[in-house]
This record gives sequence, structure tokens and C-alpha cells, in this order.
Amino acid sequence: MPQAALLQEVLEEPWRLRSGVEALLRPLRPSDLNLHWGLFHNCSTQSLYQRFFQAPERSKVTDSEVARFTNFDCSRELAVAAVQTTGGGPELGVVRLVHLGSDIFEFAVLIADPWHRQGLGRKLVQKAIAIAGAGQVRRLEGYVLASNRPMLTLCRQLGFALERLGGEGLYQVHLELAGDGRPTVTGGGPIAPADR
Amino acid sequence: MNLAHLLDDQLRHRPEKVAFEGDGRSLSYAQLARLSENFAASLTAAGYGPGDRLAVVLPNVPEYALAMFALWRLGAVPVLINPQLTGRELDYILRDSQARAVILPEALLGVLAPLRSELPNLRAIVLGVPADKDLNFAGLAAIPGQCPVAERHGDDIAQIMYTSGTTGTPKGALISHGNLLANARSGVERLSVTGDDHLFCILPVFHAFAFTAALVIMPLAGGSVSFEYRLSPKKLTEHLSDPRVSVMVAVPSLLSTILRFPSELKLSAALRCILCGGGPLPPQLEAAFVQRFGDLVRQGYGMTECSPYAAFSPLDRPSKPGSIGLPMPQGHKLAVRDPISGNFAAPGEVGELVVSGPHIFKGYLNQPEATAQAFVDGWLRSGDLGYCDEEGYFFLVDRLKDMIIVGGEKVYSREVEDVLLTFAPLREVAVVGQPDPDKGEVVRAFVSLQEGATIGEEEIVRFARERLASVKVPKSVTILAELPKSATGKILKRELRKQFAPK
Repeated sequence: MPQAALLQEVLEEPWRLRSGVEALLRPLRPSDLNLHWGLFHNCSTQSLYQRFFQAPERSKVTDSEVARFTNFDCSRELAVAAVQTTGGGPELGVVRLVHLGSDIFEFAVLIADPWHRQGLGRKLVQKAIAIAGAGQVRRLEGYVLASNRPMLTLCRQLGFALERLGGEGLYQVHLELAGDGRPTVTGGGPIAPADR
Repeated sequence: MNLAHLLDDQLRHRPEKVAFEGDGRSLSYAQLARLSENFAASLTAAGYGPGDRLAVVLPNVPEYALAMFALWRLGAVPVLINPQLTGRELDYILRDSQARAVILPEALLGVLAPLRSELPNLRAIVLGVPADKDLNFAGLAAIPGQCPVAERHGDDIAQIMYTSGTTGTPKGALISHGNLLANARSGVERLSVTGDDHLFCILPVFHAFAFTAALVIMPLAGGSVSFEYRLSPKKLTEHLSDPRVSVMVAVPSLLSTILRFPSELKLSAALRCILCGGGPLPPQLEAAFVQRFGDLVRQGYGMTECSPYAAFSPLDRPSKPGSIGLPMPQGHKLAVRDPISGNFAAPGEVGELVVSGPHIFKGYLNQPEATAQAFVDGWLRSGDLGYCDEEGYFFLVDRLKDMIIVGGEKVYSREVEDVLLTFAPLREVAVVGQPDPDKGEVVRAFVSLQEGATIGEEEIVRFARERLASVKVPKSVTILAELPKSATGKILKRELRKQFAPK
């Protein structure tokens, strides 16, 4: 079962942001509800929009909606949070992997605004690739808004292929893996034609 | 370099020629020069001067031209506003632009009224009967006065045009005297415009496409313009068969409308070209039009931010179906780049269309970040995807932006979504374009409700109508238990399009 293997592979990892902030990368747990609320709270409308393709007013985000992201079915989903190791330990960002069937997983990243541009997005996507590879995942894919150039650039640099989805300002990025965490194809070529 | 000088040549060569007409009124070049100078002198006496911003909220009437040439002469900056905007939208633009006065028809005083207590320094200049303290448009133009043309540099701002933004907040594009003059000169060359041309302008002049054609290209060439703002079959028929009409501006949905007219409709024998912009022209529509009326349609491409023409199909050879034409001449550049790597694309390769040249705007008012994001390596980004063929003709393929084009008007899905999300009973909103035979596309909204909320689709449309210009209001709203999402929780509009595609 690749998904069972996935969870076992997630070891805690200390990591330092470019600004010097010390963080611990660790699996997100159901008991992290309040911590995860804090992550949402530290995200601007624009960051939430880029993550969910919708920017709800914060007052409309309910406990049950945040709980969906901490209390999930561990047999098909996992999330790795970057939590500051000092100063009350706010959650700085999170990467999520969800099993789509066969050996394919979807990933998504959310970084709170105060910790943007410090290498954390790259670190978390690399973490997702490493976890996926170790778990014998064959393909990692995600959706990125065409306007989110930093994320598209990062994905291309990390070897993802970018495929434009016609008509809605959206890309699907995907990385084929050999099962040992190494990409089998390299992105960076011209944009694939629209899938209309 | 002040655009007000465009009238100098025409005063010498054709002072009595009618320059602008519409709504039963007309202005010769001599009258336009005289009245615009009077108007500018009256504004000076009323305390306005160079650099002041004055909002213009008018439909297509000859007074639009009078107001423009008066404000340019004064060195003031017109802020062009769509008369169909709601109070909420108008309020934002008046505040953002810090307009000191607003020129508007009497019929719109009701929209302005609720905003006036918050904007005590804003004066209204009314086309019609003014209220207390307001100024009368005709009165200002009638008082004889002298006002020399203010000296303006090419980089000085000639107008501010508000464009919808992906983040839901309109942005004021700063267009200079030099931008408009360069683009108009290039337009005169590409479209072979002369003093014998007569333009029929039914597209709203507060949009860049019609503005530059009617208010800069035509006065530059010494041509004339018929304005119209009523899209009734009777009015349209009258104008289309007016024997003077040699050029018209159109959007694809207007061509569809004309095609549905009875076969008796005869277009003016002088009509030599129909300039089509505002969204991709479907090749089938172009073919049907050509079959019935001849090879008249030339598709072009532009953006408010490039004053606005970036490309137009040449007139001296047959139109290339589906193409937006060749880059405009006289130093106007259009290219295709990979939107992520920035590499220039080879012929046939799809990438983002980017523009550079003397027609590129000076930035967005009060929005340095948005201005920076609009450019990449000195090129203006269009957000449109396309390619260039071996002969140098450009083609549009898709949009990088989540945008709907309703009858030639751009509507950003995000702006509509953000407004609907402020409606307490709504939990999730996704807005998509739905194909429409008349408008090309119309706005369709899918929503889910907060737990326990019980409202109907009509209430949601009413909420939108009170806050958004009519073009942005959803034509239909569908309430779903939940919007389709990807496994990680991203709303997927493609699933909505698949599930709810018109049968």
C-alpha cells in the first residue's frame, strides 16, 4: 500500500528559513486545529485565493472547514507542516498530498504571508517530492493559477511539466517519478497545448 | 505636445466641416475649437487648472469631444468612466482618482447623489439641468472666453481609463498625450484614414478601442464621426445605411446582430472597413459576414494599456481568417514569449502576447505593484496567449486570465466572485463564462450556501445588480450543495463547465 508507506516515511526534520527562523517540518495532526487556524489567519486574501481558487472572508471560514484539513483520512492523505520552533510556534506553511487513485497523488502548498520569499515553498515541494518518491508514487500533480508565476517557476525548476488548462487561467503541473524519488521526466520545455 | 493642437490643422483646412454629430446635435471643427476654448476658460474661472482630474461620465454624444478638447486645452486630466457603473463602483473611482469635478448627464445625478456627502469637494458639471451649486455644461461652453493651449510634454497624462482587475479592484491606467498621438498616427497609416472618412461609432467611447478611433484618429486625419449610444434596430439601420459612413468600429456580438437584420438592409456604399476588436472574432461569424456584405471586416487587437491598438489586419489584402493581423506600424512591437521562462517563441509556438513601443501607458494610478507586474523585461504583458505564423500574422489562442468577454467588455470572474462572497448567505462562489449567441459570452454564477441559509437565485442576482455594472451581473445563478473541488480543495471550474454545458 503506497499510502501506508507514505506516512511512515515522514520523519521530523529541522530546517532554517532564509531569515534565520528555525522551523520543524512534521506531520500535521488532528490536535493541530488551533495551530492550523493560525496559519489561515496569517494568510492574505491573495494567498488563500492562490491556494483554494477562492478567497472567502475570514469570518466565513468555519471550524469544520479548518478541521477538514487537520482531521483527514490518513489512509489517503497526509500533510507536512512547517512549525516555528520558538516564539509560540506558529505554523508557517503546509504541504498536502492526497491520493487520487492508482499511484497518483495531488499536492498543494500554502505559506503564510510573513514567511513568503524565504525558500519555504521550495523546501515543502521538495519534501513532497521526497515523500512521494519514497512511497513509490508514480506521479505527483497539482493545479496552479496562471497568475501565480513564482509557483509555476518553482515547479518548472523542480522538474514538473506544465500543462495549460484552456479557458480558465489555470495550469496543471505534474512530475513523473521513478519510485525512488527521482523525476523520470524533466519540465522546462515549451508549454503543452491546451487541454480543451 | 498637447492633443488639443489636433484641431489646429483642421481649423486651417476645413473649419466648417462637421467633426462630431449625434443625438440630433453636431459640431463643426470651428465650433468645436471655439466652444472647447470657452469651456476651458470657464473652467479656469471656476478654479480648475493644469493637472486637475475631472471625471467624464457621458454616453456617446458630441459633447464628449467638446469636454475632451476643453480638458486637454486646459492641461487637465479627464478620468473616463462608464455611465452604467453602480454607485459603489463610481465611488471607488472618484476617490481613487481624486477627481475634483464630474461631468455627467442630468439623468445620472441620482447615482451621484448618495456619494456627495462623502465627497464634499466634488462639483458636478451637468449636461441638462443642474442642481444648486452645480455647473451647467452648456453654460460653461457658451460664455465667450480665451484660454491658450497648455504646454504639455509627451509623457504628461492625457487621460485615466479604469480597467477591471484580476483582484477585483479597478485600476486607473495612465495614458499620455504622446501615447495617444503615436497610436493614432500608426492607426491612420495602417487603416489609410483620410479627411474624407466618416466613422460610425456605436461602441462606448469610455473604452479605449472607440476612444482612440473617434477622438484622436479622426481629428488627426480631419475626418468626421457619428456618435450613437442607443442600440435599437431602427437607429442601427439608419446609421449603417448613412451614405457618408466609410468606417465603423465593432465587436463580434455587434456583427452577429447586424447579420440577423432583414435581407433588405443595405450597408453604406462608402463603407470600406469594419474594425473589429474587443474579443476574438469567430471565423464562422467572419465568413458569414463576408458572404453577405463583402470583405469589409478587419480584426485587430489591443488593450487599454497600449492606447490601445497593438495589431490590425491590413486593408490592402484579404483578411486572414482568425488572425488579429500584423503589429501596428511606426515602432509598435508585438511579440510572443513563454510566460514563465520569458523566452521568445518561434513561429507557430504558443506563448503570451507582449507589447512595446511609444504607445505603452505610464502605469496604474496609485498602484506601483500592479504596474510592476504588468511588465516583464520592459514588455507590457497582455495575459493573452497566442502565436505568430511564418508571415508575421498573429493569432489569439486563449487567455491566461480568468476572464469573460461579454459583448466586447472584459469581466474578471474574480471581481464578480469577490462581490458575491460579501453576501452573507453565500459560502462558495464560482463565476464562469457561458456561450451566448448575442453577447459571445455571459456571466454565469455557481454558488453554495451557508448552513441553514435559504435564499433563491433571484435574491443573489438582485444583490449583484445593486453592486455591479449590468455587464458583470450573472445572467443566471445555480445553487449547488457544494462546488466541485480537486482532492486538495481547489475549486475546479472546468468540472462546472463539463457538468452544466448547454445541451
